[in-house]
Amino acid sequence: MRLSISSSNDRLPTRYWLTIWVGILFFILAFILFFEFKIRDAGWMPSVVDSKQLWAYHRKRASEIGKKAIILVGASRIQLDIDMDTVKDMSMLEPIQLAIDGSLFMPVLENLAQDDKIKGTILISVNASILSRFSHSQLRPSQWVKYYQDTYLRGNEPYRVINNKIKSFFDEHMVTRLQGAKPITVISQFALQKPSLGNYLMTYPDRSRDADYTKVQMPHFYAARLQRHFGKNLVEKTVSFEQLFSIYHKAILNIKPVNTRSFLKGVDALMGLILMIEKRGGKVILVRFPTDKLLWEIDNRKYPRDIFWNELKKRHPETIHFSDYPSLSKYHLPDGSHFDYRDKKSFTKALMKIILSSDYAG
Amino acid sequence: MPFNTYTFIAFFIIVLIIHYSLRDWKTQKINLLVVSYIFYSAWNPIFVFLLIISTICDWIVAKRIYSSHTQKSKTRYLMLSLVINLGLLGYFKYGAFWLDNTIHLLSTVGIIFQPASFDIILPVGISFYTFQTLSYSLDVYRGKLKPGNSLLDYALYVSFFPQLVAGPIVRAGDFLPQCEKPRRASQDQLGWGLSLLTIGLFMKIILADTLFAPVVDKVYDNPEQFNNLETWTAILSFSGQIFCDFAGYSTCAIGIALCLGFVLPDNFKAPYAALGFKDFWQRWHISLSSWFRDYVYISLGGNRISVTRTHLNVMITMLIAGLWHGASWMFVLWGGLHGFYLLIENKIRTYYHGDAKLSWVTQLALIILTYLIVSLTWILFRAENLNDAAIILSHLYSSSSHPNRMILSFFEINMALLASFVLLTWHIYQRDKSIEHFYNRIHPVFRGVFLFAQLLIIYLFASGDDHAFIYFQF
Repeated sequence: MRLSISSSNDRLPTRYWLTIWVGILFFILAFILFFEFKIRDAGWMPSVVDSKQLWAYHRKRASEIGKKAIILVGASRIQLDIDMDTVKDMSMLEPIQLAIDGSLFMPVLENLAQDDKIKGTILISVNASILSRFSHSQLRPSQWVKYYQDTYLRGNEPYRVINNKIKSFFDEHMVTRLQGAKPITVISQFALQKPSLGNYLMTYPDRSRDADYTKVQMPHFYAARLQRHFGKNLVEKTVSFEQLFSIYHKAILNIKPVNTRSFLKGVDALMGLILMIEKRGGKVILVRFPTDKLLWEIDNRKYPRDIFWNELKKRHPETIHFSDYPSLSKYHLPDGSHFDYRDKKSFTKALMKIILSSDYAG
Repeated sequence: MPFNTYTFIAFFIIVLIIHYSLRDWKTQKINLLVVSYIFYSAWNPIFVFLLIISTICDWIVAKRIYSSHTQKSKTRYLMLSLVINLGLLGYFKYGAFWLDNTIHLLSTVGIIFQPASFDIILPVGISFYTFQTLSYSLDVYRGKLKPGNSLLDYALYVSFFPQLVAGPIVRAGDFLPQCEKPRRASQDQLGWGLSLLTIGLFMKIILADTLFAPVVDKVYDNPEQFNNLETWTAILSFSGQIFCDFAGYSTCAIGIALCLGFVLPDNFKAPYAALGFKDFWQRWHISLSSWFRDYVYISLGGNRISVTRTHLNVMITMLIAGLWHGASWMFVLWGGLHGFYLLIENKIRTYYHGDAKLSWVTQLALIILTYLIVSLTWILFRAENLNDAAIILSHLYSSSSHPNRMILSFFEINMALLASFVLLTWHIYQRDKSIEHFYNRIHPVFRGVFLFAQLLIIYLFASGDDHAFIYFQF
């Protein structure tokens, strides 16, 4: 039979197809498995991808659970520093991790405040710097909230639901798709990182994260964090911790406190949202998570605690500042800003003890 | 579900296993029909009913046309088919467009009309399967086709999942005979079918989505910010993107059908190596352009009436073809421009006795000229509105307010331009050949190496996100 328009069937490349395809599949599998094992061998481990889909799933749970939920809002600190099992065991509430790494929490809190089903406890990781930047447009949290409202709640096309599940499965089980990255990125990073220490971050299905700082190169890692926090790079080449401290310490001494105007506007906005949640029986606790060494010094010089935090506490007494509690401030934070996963359990225990005793509000 | 998803790969493996474990041909066809409906419902299960209604209507209407004794009665039934098919298409695809235009038109004469807002969801692939069912009724009406006796075969023709949502638009005369006898893919068909699927996915995932799309999206999203080089890069990149996206889909569709033992027609034939616009439309989306030629242009009288009428028919056909691509005046303009090019070319051909043999230098120059004009015309196809299109056009020769500031990286520009050049060269090389010709000529070991390399690159560079095929929106 001839088709009216010629087709690929009329001129098929013939012969050896079985051998060709068996060979192709064999070599593809061999390539993938080789790098999977090689990269794992160097200390890299597959991890759940902290995607908007996963966030939306937990966001929906927060609405469903209602009063029995303890919702965690903020950025990387609350995501890395809190042990979810400890929260659950001590509070008898269901912890929901809604923090978004590297972002300002306002769009998430706005979304929670507008949802009448949110009636439980909300724990917010807050500091003066965040509140001073509250009006900055933040693409990621806004996009995730928009995705939740416009797409996730409406229901995805059936094939997308299945596709997300299959993709998540591969992302969670293949180290070459670490954090949902393209394999070329992971493989080239693995090849370029000498010595290869592996990935220091692990994400879990409940969106909590572990940081293993034995897998990062110090003091480079600390220096990079410090530089981001300070806003300027003061060391061009590799230096020791001591040199780093001495160089930055001198510079930090010149930091002047920032104006409180934007901060106060941020506090007003925050209080408005808290009021909405409290009106329907919800509870909001503001927590200043620990930072240490030079990072804390930078924070405290820019936003002196006596001026900024005390103002916040005046407006909303349910606040916990780590520096008020030896049980919270005794830890060494390897990068100056986050806990190593080995310490997070005892820190969470100490924090939950304070929360449950309710004596922080006085 | 789009072909470039994990869901489809899993679906296709299951379909292949079930299809080849069934022995009875009728059961195999029932299975293919059921999985085609499952495939379609993966977007929105409700719209499967629309597909079934469309199928049944044309099945009945075609029977009635055939059994009618008078021309008047045949025409009446044909009109019924046109009203049903074009009515569905008009409502779902153009409903909001017509309403917006009516509101706008009324407002220009001072009438403020504010109807209640309504959201119409466009059923994926409606433009494609509507054209298939229409062609069936039209072919029966013209006496070119005798209606088949099997509703199952006809339903499979309309819904066959490889070509259901984005073509190629298959004619009943090509497909229905394939349903008559049991079809089992030979080892060569299966092997080549899988190869076509791989090549199509490579075109879509790597070339269209990874290489070209990022450059195109950046420039078209904020056209005023980019300089001449960046704008030209985006223009040529979009030519690459739309070809690799759509031809990639068609290649996958042909390959998947071949794995199941079915043969679908070619849809692209090195279009960027076209010598002029008539040649371009014989190479680009062939199944659609031949549909418009056979059912619109010829129905309007083609070139049989007068020169003026021929010109008018060409313009009408191209304007409708433009509108087929989407409910926007930008597409109509795009179609209109192509119609205009065809008329100009026709004049030139008449003047220069166009069939004369051209030297290879002239041919090459004409190919490049056609490619550039086609690429520039794509601006209307891709830009959000006329204002954006005007900005892009103006940035082709003048520049942004910061002519020396580059937003795209040199790597992005070099890769996109290199890929565009390779694509054009490949089309010129392939002008009178087929992809099968290339794979037939090389040693089987290199066949394996090429396919392995494509799969490996897909694995290494694919993000795993499903970027929609551009033609799904049509």
